[in-house]
Amino acid sequence: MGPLTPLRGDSGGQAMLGVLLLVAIVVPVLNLVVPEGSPWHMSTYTVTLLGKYLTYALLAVAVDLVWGHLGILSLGHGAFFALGGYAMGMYLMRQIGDRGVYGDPVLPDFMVFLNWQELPWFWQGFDMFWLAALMVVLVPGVLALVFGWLAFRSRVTGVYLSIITQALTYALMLAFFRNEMGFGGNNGLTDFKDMLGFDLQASSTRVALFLASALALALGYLACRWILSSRLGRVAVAIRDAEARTRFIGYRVDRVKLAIWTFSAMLAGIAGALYVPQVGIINPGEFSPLNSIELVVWVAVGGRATLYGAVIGAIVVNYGKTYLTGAFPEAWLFALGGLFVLVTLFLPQGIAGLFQRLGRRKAAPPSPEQAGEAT
Amino acid sequence: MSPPMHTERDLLRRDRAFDFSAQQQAWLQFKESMRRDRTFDFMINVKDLELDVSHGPILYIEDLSVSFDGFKAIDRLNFYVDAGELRCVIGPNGAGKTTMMDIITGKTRPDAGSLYFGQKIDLLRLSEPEIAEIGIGRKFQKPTVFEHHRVFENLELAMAGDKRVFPTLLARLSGAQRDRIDEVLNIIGLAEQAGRDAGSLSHGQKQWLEIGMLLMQDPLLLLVDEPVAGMTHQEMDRTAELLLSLQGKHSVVVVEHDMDFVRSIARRVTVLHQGAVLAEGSMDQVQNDPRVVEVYLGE
Repeated sequence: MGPLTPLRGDSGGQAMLGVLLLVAIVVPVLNLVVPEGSPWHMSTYTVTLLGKYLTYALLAVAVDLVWGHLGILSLGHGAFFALGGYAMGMYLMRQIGDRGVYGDPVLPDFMVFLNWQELPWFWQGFDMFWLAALMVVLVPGVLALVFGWLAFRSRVTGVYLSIITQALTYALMLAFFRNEMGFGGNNGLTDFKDMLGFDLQASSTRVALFLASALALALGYLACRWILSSRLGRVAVAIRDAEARTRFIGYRVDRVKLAIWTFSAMLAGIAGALYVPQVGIINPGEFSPLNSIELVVWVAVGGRATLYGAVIGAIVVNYGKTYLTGAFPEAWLFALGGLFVLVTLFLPQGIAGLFQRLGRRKAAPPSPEQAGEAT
Repeated sequence: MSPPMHTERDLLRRDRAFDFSAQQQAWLQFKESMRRDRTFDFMINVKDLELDVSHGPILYIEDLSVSFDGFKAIDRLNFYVDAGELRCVIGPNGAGKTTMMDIITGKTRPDAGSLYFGQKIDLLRLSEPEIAEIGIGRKFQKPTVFEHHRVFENLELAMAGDKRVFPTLLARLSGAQRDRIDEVLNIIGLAEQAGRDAGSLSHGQKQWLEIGMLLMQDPLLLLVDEPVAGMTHQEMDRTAELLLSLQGKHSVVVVEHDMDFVRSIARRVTVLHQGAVLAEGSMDQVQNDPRVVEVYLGE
């Protein structure tokens, strides 16, 4: 069994990863090799923008894993993304060292400003990259584990679960807004200088972060496909379609949900950790309930339960957002709402569904033998 | 125009509503676990439970009662099923047939009474998956198959085996398991439909697929709720054949409305009425019982 086995039968995913590979080769060349005067040169700003989209795409894949294939409509996945981002932000803050405005060798600027004398316990060790990297997956993972254990054991499902995930991210937003929490209050963490010794403003670092995002997306996608093509993935879809029935044939539904939910939260955390060094800031706004709702819209636009559709949706909607918030800043939220309504009405399977329909129309209708073989 | 996305519909489904009874059950389980004579029950692994049918019956229901909003769905019910027996349960609507199955499979918790699988296993202390694991399988009244899975996959999911999360993640079909699935596909007559989505099957085929899923679980006790609802006569005959072939190896409890069908398979029939047993015996005895005639057959 090779690493690409999970892609068998997933032509959309194969195409998506193919395009991703192509982009991962072309973008660094256009930015680093093509000279700046050339019309073919790609600015570092664009590279970073693309890198940001890729982290969003990974986040959308994490959401589609639980929403599309397990039936859990999470309206709080932004929280796991932001927690991963904060863990990375803490590392980047510690890397600033004495180059901050106040020049304190240990304390980040906001702590000096608040007159704190020493580093709080939960900031200890974040100057080490390995610890920060561990926390990137551990903190969202543990939160998801505790939250999921309570929710799934009590059989909270459907709209009630969606509401409490929304409450979760809202509560975290309010908590992180407080200066006393020790995460920089409403300013968040910013003014990062370097990462692993590389200057964050340098084009080469930006390209490396872009490539890391592409790699994380590819691996995250493959991991999700691997889960979904296993028997556990079929159990997950069974839970989505008929939860009680799944319980009666002997699966512990709450544990299956807990395992996949926690994995999804960890993926979201990784996406957040890659997002922060590229945009250069993390603040409590990332916990905003609106963010989590928006990312459900990405998945719906791309095509729920297709996984590669989530990638398409995240990139298309965010490209639209970048364009519209630049060209007509007031129109963005209307466009987002309108898009959601239009997709729900006319493209219930999203963009991926549109592709599938076009593909089917082109190909001859499958014969019964072919349909039977497709197991 | 295409149908709406099924999220909204899912969100409004009643059966997904917040289930308060879970907390209540957890509390009852907690109280139960604190009983002095049973303090270490939580250390019992389901796999270590051994079925003891040396006295004959595989299922003991004694003085069982449950009420919903004051309505006594089951009222001091006593009911026994012998190992290897094929038993039919009949009764008018609201007699408590489906509720009885809900209690046996752990879906509903009774207010009072006892429920034993063999002589030793107390079913009231087990969860639904645990009850499935020790060997009680159920076919629902309304066929519920996994519509987005192929027929083959439906059987694969139901197959007996280690159903914990990580073993399921790493599970691969062995040759013997594949053969077993093919065998069941032949028994239920769906070999040609193996690669089709279960959602595209006809009603009768779905009923058979459900029975097939039950067989894959290889249960000791099968609870079969209205297996021939919506079937043609031909399909009914096949189903009767299928159920008869199971007795001996498995114990089977069939709840059915169709009297012709019951007559064609039953040796012993139990008549339920208002949550209790009204009569029990052969089909002829039961049919000639004046009380039965009054409440049910005489309608």
